[in-house]
Amino acid sequence: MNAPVATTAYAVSSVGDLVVAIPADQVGSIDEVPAGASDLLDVAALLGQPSRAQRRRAARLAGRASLTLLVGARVDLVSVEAPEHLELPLLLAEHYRGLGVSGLLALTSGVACVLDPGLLARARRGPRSAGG
Amino acid sequence: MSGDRSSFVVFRVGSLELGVPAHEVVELARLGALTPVPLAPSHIRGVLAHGGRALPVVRLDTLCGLPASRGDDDLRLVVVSAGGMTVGLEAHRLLGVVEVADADLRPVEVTASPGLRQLATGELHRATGVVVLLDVATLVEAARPRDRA
Repeated sequence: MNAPVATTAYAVSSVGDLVVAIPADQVGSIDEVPAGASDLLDVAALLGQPSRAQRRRAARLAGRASLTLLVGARVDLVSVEAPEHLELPLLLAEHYRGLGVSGLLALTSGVACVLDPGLLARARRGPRSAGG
Repeated sequence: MSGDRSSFVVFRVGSLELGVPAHEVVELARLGALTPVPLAPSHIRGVLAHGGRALPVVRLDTLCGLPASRGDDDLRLVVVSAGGMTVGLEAHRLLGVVEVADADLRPVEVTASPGLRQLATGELHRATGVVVLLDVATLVEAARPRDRA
């Protein structure tokens, strides 16, 4: 009998040339962006990516009513096994954390950035939060 | 390294021949698919998942302020480690491991680029040209993105 493989679920979305992942247990809901919505944190802008998608999604974070992320047009729920979790490389750790990224995932499509709500809130207030 | 001899891994980036101490080289590998690092300086080519870790890949020509040189599609990685940081150096061609007597190592004399001189510890003058020997710790520290706050 095979031992169970520990997995973690993530809400995964493409923004520009990057893939971002939010731990699923921290996502309250994924919605269409409501008309006239303001006070959304545009993840593409935060990460310096072009916002190509016309119809994007809003990821409302659980327990953080004030933080709703504007992500890509599509959000998939992906189970990631433990070995696919990568620590931030020391050379870039401070840089990534300043952008709200706490870790990386080795997905078949490439390396995804794991968004951390606490770091994102800080990044939003910082100089890198373009337009936010 | 033993006694008065030192070994260097020598590789080519564009027209430059560069060397790093062999004992600071973790491995040599083929460059796989890279993922860009958001808002990173241009010398950070990206990261790749390699051996269970995320490996940053650095372009040395850009890091030294030189024009970016084009290599073919079969790029190599010289993975080095210093100060707890491991990075992959993009190489257009691996030229091998060279063992030299320390007496044959020259100070930085003919390297013209100021950016490259800052990373260099010496030169090795060979019949085929000059190999610029790099200090890995200095290189890694120079590659670290600066907080733009």
